[in-house]
Amino acid sequence: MIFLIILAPVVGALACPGLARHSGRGFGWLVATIPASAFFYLLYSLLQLDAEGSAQLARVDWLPALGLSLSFRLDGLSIAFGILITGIGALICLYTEAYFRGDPRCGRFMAFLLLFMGAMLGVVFADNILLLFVFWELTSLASYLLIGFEHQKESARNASLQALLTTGAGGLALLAGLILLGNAAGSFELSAIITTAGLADSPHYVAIVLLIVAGAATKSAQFPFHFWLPNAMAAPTPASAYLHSSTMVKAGIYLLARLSPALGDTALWFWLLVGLGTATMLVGGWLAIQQSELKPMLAYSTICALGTLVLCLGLGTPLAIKAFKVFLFVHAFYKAALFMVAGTVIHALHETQVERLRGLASALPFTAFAALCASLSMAGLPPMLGFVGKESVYEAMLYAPVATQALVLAAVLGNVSNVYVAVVMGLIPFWRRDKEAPAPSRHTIPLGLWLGPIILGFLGLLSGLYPHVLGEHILAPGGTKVLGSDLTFKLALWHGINVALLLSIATLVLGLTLILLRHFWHRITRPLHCLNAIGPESLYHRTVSAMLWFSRSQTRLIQHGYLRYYLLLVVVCLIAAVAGALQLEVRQDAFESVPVRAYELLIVALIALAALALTRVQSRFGALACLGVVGYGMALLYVYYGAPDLAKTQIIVESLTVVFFALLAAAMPDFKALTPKAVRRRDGFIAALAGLLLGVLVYSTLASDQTQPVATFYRQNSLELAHGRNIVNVILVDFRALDTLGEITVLAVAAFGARALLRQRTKRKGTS
Amino acid sequence: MNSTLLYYWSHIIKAIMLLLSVLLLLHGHNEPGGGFVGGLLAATAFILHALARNVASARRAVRIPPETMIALGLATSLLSGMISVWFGRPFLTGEWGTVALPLVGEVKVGTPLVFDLGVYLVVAGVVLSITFSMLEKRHAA
Repeated sequence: MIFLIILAPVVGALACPGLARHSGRGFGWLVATIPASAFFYLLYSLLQLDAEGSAQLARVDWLPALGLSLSFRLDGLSIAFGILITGIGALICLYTEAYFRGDPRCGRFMAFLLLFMGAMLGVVFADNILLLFVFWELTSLASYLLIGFEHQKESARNASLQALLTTGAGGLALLAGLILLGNAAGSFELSAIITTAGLADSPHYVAIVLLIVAGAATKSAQFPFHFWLPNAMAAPTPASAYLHSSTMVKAGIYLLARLSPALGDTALWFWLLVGLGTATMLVGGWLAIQQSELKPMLAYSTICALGTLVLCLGLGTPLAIKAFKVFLFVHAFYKAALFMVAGTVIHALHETQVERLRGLASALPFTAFAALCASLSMAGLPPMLGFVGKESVYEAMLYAPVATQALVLAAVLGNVSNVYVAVVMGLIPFWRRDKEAPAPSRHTIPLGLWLGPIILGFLGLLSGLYPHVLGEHILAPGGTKVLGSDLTFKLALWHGINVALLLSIATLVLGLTLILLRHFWHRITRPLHCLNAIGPESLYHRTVSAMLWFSRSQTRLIQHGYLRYYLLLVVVCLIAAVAGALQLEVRQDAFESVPVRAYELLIVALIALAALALTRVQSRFGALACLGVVGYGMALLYVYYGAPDLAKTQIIVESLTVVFFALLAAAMPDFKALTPKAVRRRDGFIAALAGLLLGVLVYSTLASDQTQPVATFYRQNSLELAHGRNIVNVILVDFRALDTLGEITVLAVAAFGARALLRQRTKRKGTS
Repeated sequence: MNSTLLYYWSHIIKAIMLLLSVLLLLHGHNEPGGGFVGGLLAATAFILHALARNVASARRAVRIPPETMIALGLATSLLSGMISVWFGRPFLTGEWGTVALPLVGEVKVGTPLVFDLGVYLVVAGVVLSITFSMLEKRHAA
């Protein structure tokens, strides 16, 4: 079943472009059935999980020799993420169809989305950490395709490359970390790693934690790697709502949560995650307030939320894990909804500046209602789930083991930013009346565009009213997995008057004050924008340009374009390698053991003469004829040594060489002797040396290799095992068929390369 | 090349060469020959055609673009390897069976032969692709 859940979106992705053309408006509903059915299955299996939240495992051996298997696990934590991915995914499918209605690219976009969905489900369900890594990279790839979807825009291309490079670099760190982790734990299966005790005492523990956290931090846009996420807003809004707010950026969070029973509970883990989370929360919150456009504002507030999640994971107390799980869902509900709302507004009005939007509630009534629900949840007002989430975060901070005041302050500041974004983005554009503003033209908003945000907003409200249902059935099994011990989830809307409630009120007051003073605030903080010049993004740009400069300069050095020097380099390297290998191998008797016959000498003399003549002739076709003599002489030798296959091939290759050369020679400039004598002498010396050494090599192999175990094996087994008498062919197509497959692939690639080169030259000639 | 003799004889020579190339491919498993040399020979046959007449005519004679031929060949080799996977054996294991043909009698048929057919197609396609491009370039220049 679990294989089906992961495979179905991928298969669906293949069918998407065709389906989109033929199914019309039902396309979104049709595609949404894939994630929707997975969603209901996962929900069902979550409710089936027993109290301990034990896991269902499924595995198929992939490369047993390397310890790689396609193993998946369904447990509380992975199902919780899976529910988010499939549930929001289904709504996004509907949204996408409505968003792209009438656009021929709809099918392609949907295919990328489904591809991502499959990969992301793979990340959360994979039990083998190397398998997890493969899916992890696939999500980066899908994200690359989606961010760069409008590939005719340079900004979109740059943003997608930036996201890919950043998450890809983190992915490399992660791979190293996972391999170290697997070696330290003695298994690459998560189920075994989590139960391994004493990983913290491993000599590589520090490296493991640093590398894995680096991977997770790039993926989940933690400071200082956060810069790619706002740029990723170049993606069409359905992708932003899905990947860059509710699912893909949570992959790093998932990994940290998953590994915290194994790696957590140390000072390093605690301070690293708490520091990372707090910094990200504050930076994201600060930058969110500074934005004036819809999507960047949401992107920075997502960064802020991701920081909160990492902070909770770092604290690791039962209260913090509870807050983590609640906030994970809270955020997924309201952020995906707000992104979809933003997308609808942009889609309908082609306006991205928040301050220019007003009075939209009458034009977009359903969207406005969804925005209202989502914003109230984001601002953390009762009776929304956001209130419960915020209260649990505050509670976790209040009972943090160290630095309580600082953490509480940071959490309040982060939430002030949330209140600001919620009101400025979700309420003001819809409900503020302004006579001067032009009334937006009345658009008919398709069902798909408002259904998703309304459902999510409504879920935020419903689960806020009945938080214990969500807590006991959905959150508790996963929380146990993160903590490694039992966790009771007693969620309630009303906690009574306590410190957390007072903090909530303070947050709200601060946030509203900030909103009233926002123009003044933006004026006084404008000078701080110059800080961007020294921010991590400028470091990224500098690193990339330094890398480009380095590769350009070394390419100029090595790829100079002179064929003769390339050949020279190859031959010299060959000489060095052969000479090194032969150094002590050649024995005196090697030259006596092989009898030489008269006709062989004759052929050899012929070849040698032709080779000598080659260096003397003054025309291209003369040289070609001499080369031909050399080649056919070789073929003759093959015939005498009982290698008819080689001889045949050699003869045909020789003939083809003549054809190729004749074709090319016509296009070349006149034959001239340009090289000075000294250079020719040097080349001659090198050529002679190479020939001599290769001769010695052949002779010494003939003499020394008496046993010939490989050849004997082939000779004895060719007919029996492979039903063929021609050993050469049997080796090529049976015993070493994989090599041949590789060779013909290389051949094919080379042919396409040659063809591209040939065509390019012709074109350039045509334009000039 | 404007040789009347070559112009008219090239068809017959080409036919013989193609026949020979198929022969090389088919009995390559037991006698000297095989997909590689067969593919080379087939390509040479069409190159002869191109030289005797012109590239456009040779392209028509091949019927499919050489690039498609390369792709087909790679796919054939790959799929021949997958057959054994279907039977639960490692990728590229040779699977053999016998087929009774009229006139010829019982003939052993195996996936390595299919694999070799892929090699044949790739090699012929590669050589033709490069040669045709070169020839066309020469005409364009």
